[in-house]
Amino acid sequence: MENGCLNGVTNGNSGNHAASTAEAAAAAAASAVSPPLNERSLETVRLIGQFLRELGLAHSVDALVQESGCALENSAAASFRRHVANGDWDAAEECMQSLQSLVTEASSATEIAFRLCEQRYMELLEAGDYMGALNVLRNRLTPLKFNTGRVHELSTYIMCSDAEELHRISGWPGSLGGTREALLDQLQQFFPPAVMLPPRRLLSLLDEAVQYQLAKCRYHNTDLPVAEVSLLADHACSRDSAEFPARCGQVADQHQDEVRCCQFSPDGRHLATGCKDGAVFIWRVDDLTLRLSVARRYHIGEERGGVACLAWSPDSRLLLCCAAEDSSDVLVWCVSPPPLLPPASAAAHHHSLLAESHPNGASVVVNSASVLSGGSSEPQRFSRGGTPEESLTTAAWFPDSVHFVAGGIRGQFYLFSLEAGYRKSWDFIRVVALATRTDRDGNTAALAADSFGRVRQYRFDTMQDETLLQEDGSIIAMCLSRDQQVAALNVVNSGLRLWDLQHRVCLQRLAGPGISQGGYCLHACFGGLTGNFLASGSQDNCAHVWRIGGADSQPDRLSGHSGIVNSVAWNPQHHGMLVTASDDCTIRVWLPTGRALSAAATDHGSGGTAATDGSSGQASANLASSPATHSPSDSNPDEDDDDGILE
Amino acid sequence: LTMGRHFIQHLGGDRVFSCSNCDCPLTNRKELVSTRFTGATGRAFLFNRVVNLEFSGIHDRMMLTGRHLVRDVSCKKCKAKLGWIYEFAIEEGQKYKEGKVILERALINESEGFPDPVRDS
Repeated sequence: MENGCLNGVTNGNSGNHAASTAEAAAAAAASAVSPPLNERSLETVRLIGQFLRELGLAHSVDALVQESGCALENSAAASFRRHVANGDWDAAEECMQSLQSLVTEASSATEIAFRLCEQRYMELLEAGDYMGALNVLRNRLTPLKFNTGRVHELSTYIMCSDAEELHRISGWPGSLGGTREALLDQLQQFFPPAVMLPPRRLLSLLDEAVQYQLAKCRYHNTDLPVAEVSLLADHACSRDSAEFPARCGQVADQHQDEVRCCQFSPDGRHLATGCKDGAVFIWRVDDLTLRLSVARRYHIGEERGGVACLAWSPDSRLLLCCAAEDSSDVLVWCVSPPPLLPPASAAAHHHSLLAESHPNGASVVVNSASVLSGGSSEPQRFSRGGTPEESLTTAAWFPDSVHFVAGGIRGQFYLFSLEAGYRKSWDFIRVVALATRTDRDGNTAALAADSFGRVRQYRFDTMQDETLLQEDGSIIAMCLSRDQQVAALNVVNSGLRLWDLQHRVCLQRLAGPGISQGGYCLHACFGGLTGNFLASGSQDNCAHVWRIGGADSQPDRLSGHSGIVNSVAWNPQHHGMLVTASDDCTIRVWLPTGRALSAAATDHGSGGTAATDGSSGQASANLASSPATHSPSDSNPDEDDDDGILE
Repeated sequence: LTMGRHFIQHLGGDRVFSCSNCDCPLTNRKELVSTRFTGATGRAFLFNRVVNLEFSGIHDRMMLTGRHLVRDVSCKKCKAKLGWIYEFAIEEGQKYKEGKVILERALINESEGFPDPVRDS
């Protein structure tokens, strides 16, 4: 940069401007700085210089160049940049002559010339100089014989009557819209960085560093924008200040026996829990305090061996339940009433589905009217109407909240719909766990983990199937991430395995001594704001929480239960709320420390007890910042309100 | 006092053997090695691989074929006695039994299974 020297420079050697890094190094050797700057320092000076220049701090830039003796840019490139910024197109093209040799690929020179002329042409048109524009089009753009399609497009812009129409038709923001700077940024990519730096290089490096820290942050569960993260120290959320469910905020002991399953509704407003004695409770989640209160009590009967599987429909209205012992039917409750349908369309809908149902064998046709009405505590039963040797112990909904699949290890694998009951069967598959997955084209397939350690994909519409992965042990449980890209498998004696369903590779193995050694059915659940946490029940009476893709695969352990933690559920809407269900007949709600402590403070002892977990009691300084908004009617938080309809 | 829900494995197969008390799946015909054994209730079968078992402590037993170290096995689900597993055979000629399981015929059911449509298609 041939700017004037600032006073105060000790050595007058700043006149030596390098055209390449080798010469820059030589210049540095002769610079004012001693010991002379090494390669890394020189590069950093260039980045800082670019940063200051982009901020408009020209004097600082000059001072930096003087004192370090480091040319920020190849001098020809600097002249080129200046000419383009000022719109001196002829001078810019002259500069290109000397820069030609430095271009990364020889063919790019033509493209650079093209883009310069393109900008020049558009600016002339904008200014109303049609003759000048035509001149550029004919004598400069066309002879290049480059991108003739674009040249053609450009020639049509001559018809624009004024600048405003030009902007609108071409989509070009205009010379005031930063297009010259944008052009420079584009042209930079043709040159090696030693000649011309990529734009905003320092800022993009800093952003990358921040993103790396955020990715490593063990408890990070908020959507802090990268630009707002402080650079002054490495970012790392502490366990107590994060939105991580670190503390127990509520212990609910309404169940009378081992609690086997728990599942949040997709809208995050209700929790369903299933018990060994056949009780199924629906809990309402208070919006402000995140406290659970029992809203409904269902019972599936004691002879069924307890609840094995609970599944909410995607529209959060219906709850499906499978029993643990070999039972040939599944139960569906309507928890919330649907939006009202006019009676005529409801009947027509029912008709069209019945017409194509049950191709073979008997089927139980469900009375559609009772499913559509809501509020009844009698469940609808779905079965193939078959023999009592059938066993349906797992189920999963399709996205339309009308169809679902159910199956078991005796070899039943059925598709049901709410209106028509049993629809189709896939024979001879011993199903251990089910899920559904929708691909980019909108086609939904059922994913079944089977007794041979495979996870296979089944399309009930085309009756096509394929194997996605083969585990080397028996699969106990399976759950999918929210984006349906990753499956977490609980494999006998191997802990949890994470598989990428698209690329069919094993991503990570999470060992947990209590996870699969005893052969208990323990369930896991993905959660967190970006779905990057995985929580699992465990035999050691704790819930284990891993940060997926994190640097270390040691889980966080939430202790407090006095029995095996069978299942966990992460609230899909309130990302800091985790629920655990245990053999000690209780369920525990885990919240970020601030919320948990304030929640415990409002407990009045009617069934709810304060958090008594064994985790380190770091009294949080954030108590002051925790929300103190508790509605006054919340005086008996654990009292059931069995009102009819849930909102 | 059972805690938690035990995971029940299933080996599949065309002919499935299960616990006669609770119908818990145990093994299949493919795993059958020999039918020429005798247990407390009479005829007994020797199998390669059997799942869903619980094991007792080691017992030193004198059998028709010699001295063996065995564990009694019972059904994981209902705890019914089923047979035993050979841990160690004192005599060389009996070593082939090590790791294999004896299930007594009277304590198990045989039922129809089905082939795996994926592998055997």
